[in-house]
Amino acid sequence: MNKNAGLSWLISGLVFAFVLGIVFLCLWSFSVVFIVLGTILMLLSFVNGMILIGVYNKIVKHKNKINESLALIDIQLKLRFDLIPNLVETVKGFAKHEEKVLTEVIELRNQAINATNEEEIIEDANNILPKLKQTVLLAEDYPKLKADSLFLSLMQDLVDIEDRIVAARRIYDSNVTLYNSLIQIFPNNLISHAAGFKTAELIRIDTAEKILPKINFDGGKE
Amino acid sequence: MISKEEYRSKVASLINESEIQAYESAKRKRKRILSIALPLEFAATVIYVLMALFLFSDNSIHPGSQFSLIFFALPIWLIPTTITIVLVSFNKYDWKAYKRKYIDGLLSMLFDGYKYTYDGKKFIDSSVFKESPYYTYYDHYYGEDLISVNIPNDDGTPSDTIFNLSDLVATAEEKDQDGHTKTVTVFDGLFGYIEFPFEFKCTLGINHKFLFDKKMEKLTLEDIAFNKGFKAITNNPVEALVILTPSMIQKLKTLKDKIGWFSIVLINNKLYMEVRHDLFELKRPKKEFNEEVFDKIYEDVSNILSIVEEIKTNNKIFKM
Repeated sequence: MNKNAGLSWLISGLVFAFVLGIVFLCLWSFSVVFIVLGTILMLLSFVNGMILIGVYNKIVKHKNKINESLALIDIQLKLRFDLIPNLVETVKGFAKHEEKVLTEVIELRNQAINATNEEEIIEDANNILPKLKQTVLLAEDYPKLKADSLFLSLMQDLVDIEDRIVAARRIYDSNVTLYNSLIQIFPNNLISHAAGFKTAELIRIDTAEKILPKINFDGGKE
Repeated sequence: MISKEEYRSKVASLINESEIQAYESAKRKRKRILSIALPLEFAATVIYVLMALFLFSDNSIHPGSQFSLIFFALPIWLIPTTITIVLVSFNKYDWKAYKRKYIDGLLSMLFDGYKYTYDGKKFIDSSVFKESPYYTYYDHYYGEDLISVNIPNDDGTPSDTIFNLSDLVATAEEKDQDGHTKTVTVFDGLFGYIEFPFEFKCTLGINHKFLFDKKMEKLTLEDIAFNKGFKAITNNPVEALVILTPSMIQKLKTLKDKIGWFSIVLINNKLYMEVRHDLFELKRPKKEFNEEVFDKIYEDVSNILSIVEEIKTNNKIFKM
């Protein structure tokens, strides 16, 4: 069954009521009752039609906002992926014995940039994070790396990107919460159900923010 | 900042008893004179009306004597009125003189540890106001109580970033449909700004009325209470939310509870702020020489410092 079948039935019902109202009005010469019934049917179907259009458009607008905010997360995650090769190269210069970790990070990063949709990108981003944390924390064992200006600059960029990922995730969460309440309240739930709108789910995006403060940009450990 | 109790005890030591007595006795004298002047003015009005009725009646045998009303009016009406006006303005003078006398001492006590300057007669330059998003147009611009507080670095040393704020009033002359000119208030309240050594990556307006264009969009945050109490708009939601961290949102709500309605705009390299109340001013009937006056100064400084502290601790703003 078409997911918009319910909506089609709803619209058909309203159109039918409107036409029936016109028919009643045409029979005005038989009785005043026809005039009253016809007017009521026409008015009710018109008002309900307007409400239906208003609510439907509002739900669609909010759904589009969710997609837009998902795209915002996507942009920030791609920035994180772009940073990884430079970070790995810098770490490699100081920690040659950590080849295994660094190769794994690059492999996961390459897999992530080939992902085709937002869900995959988010999943890959979550998979890559433990290895990325491991790479960053290598600085604890290599003091020269920790003091390297390029490494510190990359760390600062990573902090900025993580801040923006958190911000984009908050926008997404707010939009999802708003959308879900919108489609669940009465009478919107009747329309959203008929139109096949389903509740959106909050996504889990891991961020490196929790480990990054441990790196002191002055070269020491906090 | 020192506690209110400590502040009150220090204030008490700042003002000696004889000064309070002198103030109170001057106030009593004024009240006594006013208690005579006001009934006198009332009586004069009654006499004036009665005389007018007599002179304008048909039985009047003194044609042209109506003009003598003007000469009567001068002494019996104008003199008590002048006395009243002078006494009321003396009250105002007392308040200003008293404010000038104590404010420096009080501020140095309250701004302890902060680098600041205060000038009761100066105000924020009109060029700054004109550059701000609060400016539309004005014909008259004036203000008072300019305070410049240095925002300290993390280690407590003064930074180059200064929070300037002062009371401002901007009014404009407008013509209505009938061609009558009327004065419209463009701005009336506390106006502050900070110039940062960097550009913000977004424009963010909180409770700002005029900052609307097609590129700006309304921000809906995860905090329902914030969404109800504030209207936030921006041209870049991600950058705006980097600044509006959950802790910042919480602090903005707390600040609103403390100082009432306010508006903040972050644009280019400046932060502008508008608060709808005057600095170090009390409502006219409350202009008394008592602790309420000093409490008001305490509260105002405490509010200024909570804004300064918030800006200082919010590294998302300060270290962008």
